[in-house]
Amino acid sequence: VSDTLPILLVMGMGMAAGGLGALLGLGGGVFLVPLLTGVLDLPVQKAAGISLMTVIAASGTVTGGTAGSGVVNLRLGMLLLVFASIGGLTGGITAQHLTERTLTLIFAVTTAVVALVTVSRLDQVNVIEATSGEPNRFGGRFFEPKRGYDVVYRVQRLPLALAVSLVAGNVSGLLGLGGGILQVPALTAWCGVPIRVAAATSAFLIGVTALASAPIYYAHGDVMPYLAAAAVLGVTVGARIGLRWSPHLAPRQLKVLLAATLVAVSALMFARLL
Amino acid sequence: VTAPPARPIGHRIDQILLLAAKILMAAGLAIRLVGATGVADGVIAAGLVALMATPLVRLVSTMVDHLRRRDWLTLAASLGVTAVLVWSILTALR
Repeated sequence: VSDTLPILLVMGMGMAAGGLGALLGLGGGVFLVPLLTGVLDLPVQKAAGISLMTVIAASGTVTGGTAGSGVVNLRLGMLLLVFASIGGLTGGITAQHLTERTLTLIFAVTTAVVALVTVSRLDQVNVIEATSGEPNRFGGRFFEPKRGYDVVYRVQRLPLALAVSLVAGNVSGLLGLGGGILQVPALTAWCGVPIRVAAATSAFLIGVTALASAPIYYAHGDVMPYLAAAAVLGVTVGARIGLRWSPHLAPRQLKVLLAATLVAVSALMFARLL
Repeated sequence: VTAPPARPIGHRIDQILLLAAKILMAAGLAIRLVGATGVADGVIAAGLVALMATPLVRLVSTMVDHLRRRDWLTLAASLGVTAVLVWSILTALR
């Protein structure tokens, strides 16, 4: 009976994090970790371990929905994944040696930086899409159902995308986030990848990236099994609700909501340092 | 060169494994709430292991797809990622 309350609480937090994550095109980890540390007073390592499991589940669910649609760019994704998985592995190992305070500080700074970048690019359109021409080596072509035609895109600044993937993987391993929070904005803002492709490819990447550090957390006892299970089930339900709502919000509204939420998350983590 | 679209090879196995993982976790939680903590933890652990296997299945199915297409660069990248994952598992087991 003593387990009932924590299980229900974590399931509820998972639903909230998964719903908000799906609404904003992210994994729920960036919202789940602060909730677990703030409400249940779990150490960041344990919250990150639980969060990594939800990232794997969310990745599987979203990838299942987009497989075969042509929006996942596997050639680009696999190359990014080499760097993201190395980042994930090193992040997972490093996290075991960092103090709670350092991890909280890294979390607070990361969310603050992403919020600033989001706000600074609120009205910018960065991707030039065409209906004709050939994509380059890592570019692609996909059918856009809302417009009724094929969209062609060319990937630019590949070294930058690889560097961001390494950092995103490292953040994933250190803090239990998916890494999509860094990858999707970078791919769309600087590398010419359309948002649909960036989000779908990132969803594929984050599951494998999380797996690069999840076994290390599991072996260190940082994945509390019953809370992880509750979180995974909660995130699954929440993500389905969020996905239903997301088409009703305009991109600008989504960006404002994302920035506001990240500022709140960052403030919460900074407050834990005081 | 157009990037190859995602192919649902292995997709069903991946999705079945994901569903099995969620069923095991839900069953484990239900058992735990009844009070059989030992059994529950075993069932939940099996669910978590199945969950962690899903990205690996996805990766292997992608590798098979790229081998079939003779896309050597992507295949080499997939092998690199697999090596990192194996390293991670070995580090965890140590």
